[in-house]
Amino acid sequence: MSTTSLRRRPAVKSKDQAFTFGRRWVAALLTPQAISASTLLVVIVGFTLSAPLWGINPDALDLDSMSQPPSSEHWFGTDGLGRDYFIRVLYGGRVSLAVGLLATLTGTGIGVVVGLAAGFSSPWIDGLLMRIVDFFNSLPWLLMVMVVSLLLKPGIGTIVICVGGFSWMSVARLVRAETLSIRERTYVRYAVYIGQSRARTALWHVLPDALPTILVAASSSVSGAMMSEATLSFLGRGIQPPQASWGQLLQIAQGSLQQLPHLAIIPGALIMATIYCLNVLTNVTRQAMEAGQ
Amino acid sequence: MPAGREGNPPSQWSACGMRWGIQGRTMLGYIGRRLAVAVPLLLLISFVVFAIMHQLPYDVIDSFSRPDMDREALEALRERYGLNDPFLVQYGRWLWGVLHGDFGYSLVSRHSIADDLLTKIPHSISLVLPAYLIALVLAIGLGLLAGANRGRPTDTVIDTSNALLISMPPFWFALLVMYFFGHTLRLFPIIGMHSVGRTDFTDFALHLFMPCLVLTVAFYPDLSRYVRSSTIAQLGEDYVMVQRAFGANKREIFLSHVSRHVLLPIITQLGLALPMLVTGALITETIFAWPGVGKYFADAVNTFDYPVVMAVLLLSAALVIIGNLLADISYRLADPRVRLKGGVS
Repeated sequence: MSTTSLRRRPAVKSKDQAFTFGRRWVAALLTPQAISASTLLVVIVGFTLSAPLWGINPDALDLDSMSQPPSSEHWFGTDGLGRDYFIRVLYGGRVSLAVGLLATLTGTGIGVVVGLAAGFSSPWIDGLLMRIVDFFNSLPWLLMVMVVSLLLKPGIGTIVICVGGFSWMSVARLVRAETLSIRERTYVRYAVYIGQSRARTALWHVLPDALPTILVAASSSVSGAMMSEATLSFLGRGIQPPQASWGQLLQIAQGSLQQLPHLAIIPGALIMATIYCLNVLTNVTRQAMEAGQ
Repeated sequence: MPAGREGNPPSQWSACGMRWGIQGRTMLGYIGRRLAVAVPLLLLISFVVFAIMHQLPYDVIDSFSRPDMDREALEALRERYGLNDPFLVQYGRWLWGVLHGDFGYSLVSRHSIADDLLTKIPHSISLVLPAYLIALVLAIGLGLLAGANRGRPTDTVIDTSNALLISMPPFWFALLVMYFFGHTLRLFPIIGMHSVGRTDFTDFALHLFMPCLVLTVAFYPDLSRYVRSSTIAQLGEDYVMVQRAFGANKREIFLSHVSRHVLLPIITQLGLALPMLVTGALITETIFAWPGVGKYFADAVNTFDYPVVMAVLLLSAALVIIGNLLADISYRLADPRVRLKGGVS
C-alpha cells in the first residue's frame, strides 16, 4: 500500500487542469523511446493479425523441404516437419498476445471485484478477503500452476485461468487502497447517506475514480502474463501442439537446437521485443499518470 | 508504537493493524503471532493441493502401466498404494507421516522422498547460491553507479540493459547460451552436474558454468533496478540537501550516507530470495538436466508422482512464509522506525 495511492486527488478537474493533463500525456507519448516502442509493437501486432491473409496453412506438412534455414521462399525457414515457420510464428504470436490480454483481463477482473468488496464492505469481509490474498501470495505460483494445469484440459482457456487466477492479488490490494481513500470523499459519503446500496455506490461512484489506477495496473501486467504463458508452454504445461504459441515453439525448438538454432532464436526474440515495448509504454503511462496527480 | 491506541488513529492504521488488534509490541510476540498464522496456512495449502492431486483423472499407476498389463494386477497395485481409500483417509495418512518427518515414498522410483530431497536440495543450492550472490554483487555495484549518475550515459546504459534483460525470457537465454557455448564452441558440457565417473571439482565447475550464468542473468536485473531506484530516492532526501548546505562534497555524502541507506533494505531482499534457493531454478534445472529440486518437481508433475509433488510444494510454501517473515524481521531490525504489523503477506 503506497502512500501515493492514498493521496487525495481533487474530485473535479477544472478545464484548465484537464488541458495540462492532456498535454502532459501527449508530451510523454512523443518521446523517441515511446514512439519507437509503440511503432515496433504496432508492427508486431499488425503482422500477427495479418496471419490469415498470407494464404499459407500453418499445419501443412512439406516433407520435401524439412528443416530448412531461412530463405526467400520460407522467410523463417521450415521446422522439422517441413511446416513454414514464418506463418507458424505469426499464428503463435496471435495465441501469445491473446493469452496475455485475456489473462490480464481475468486477473484484473478478479482483483477489482475483490478489492472493491474488501474496501467497501464490513471489516469482517475485508479481513477475510485480505487473508485470501495472503494465502495466494504465499503459494509458490509456478509450482501451483503446474499442478493446477494438470487438472484442466490443456489449451488457451486453462492457461488464461492459471495465469489470471494467480496474478490478481496486487490489483486487489491496489483497488482496496484506492477504495479506502475514495470512500471518504464527500460525494461517496453523500451517496451512502441518501441510502444508495453499497454495491451501487461502489460501482457508480467509487469504481470510476479508481479506473486510472486500475488501467495502469492492468497494462503493466500484460507483459507479465505473456511471460507466464511462455514459461508454462515452454515447460509443456501450456499451449499444446499442433496449436502454436511463442513459448510452445521454443519448447519444440529445444529438441533440434544444435541443427536448427533459428527455430529457437526467432520466437524468443519476438517475445523479448514485445515485452520490452509493453514495458516501455507502461512506464511512460505510469509516469504521465503520476505527474498528473 | 502504541500511540495509535490513544486518540484517533489515521485511516491507514485502522485498515491494517489496529482493527485486528495484532499491532506488535515485542519482537518475540510478533514472531509467535506470525508463526501461529503460518501453520494453519501451510495446512490449508497442503489440503488444497492434496485435493487437486486427488481430483486428477490419472494416477501414478496410469503413468507406468501398459495396455497389455493385467487389469486386476493394476487394481491390486492401486490397493497396495492406498489409492482406493477415501480422500480424507489418504490425506490423514499423509499428514500423519509428514508430522513424523516421513514424506513417504516416490511412487515411481520407490525411493524415500526425504532421502531424495536431502541429496537434491544441496544440488539446487550449489547452483542457485553462487548465481544469486554474483547477481547481488553486480546489482549493488552497477545499481549504485547508475543511481549516482542519474541521467548520464553510464546510467542510460545500465538502465536500458536492465530493461532489456527483464524482458528476456530466461529459458530463451538458456537456449542461446547452450547453443553458443555448448554446441558451437563446445566449451562446456550441455547437461547434468558431473560427467559419468568423474566427481572432481573441475568437472563440476564446467557443468555449473552455463546454468549459473543463466540464473545470474535472471536474478540480476530486478535487484539492480531495486538498488538504482532506492539510490535515486535517497539522493532526493532532505539529509542530502542538509549535507550539501554544510559543504560536504558529493563523494562524502554518497559513500558515508546514501550507500548505507540503500544497502540496509537489501537485507530484506535476501529473505524474499529464500524460497528461490530450492525451487528458483526450476526452468534452468529442467533445461540443463541439473539434478536439483526443480527438476525433481517437474519430473514428478509429469509422472503424477503426487507424494513428491506434495513434499516439494509444502517445502516451497514453508520457505516462502519463512522468507517473508525473515524479510520483515530483518527490515525491522535494520530500520527501527518500521512498525510491526500482523498478517502473513
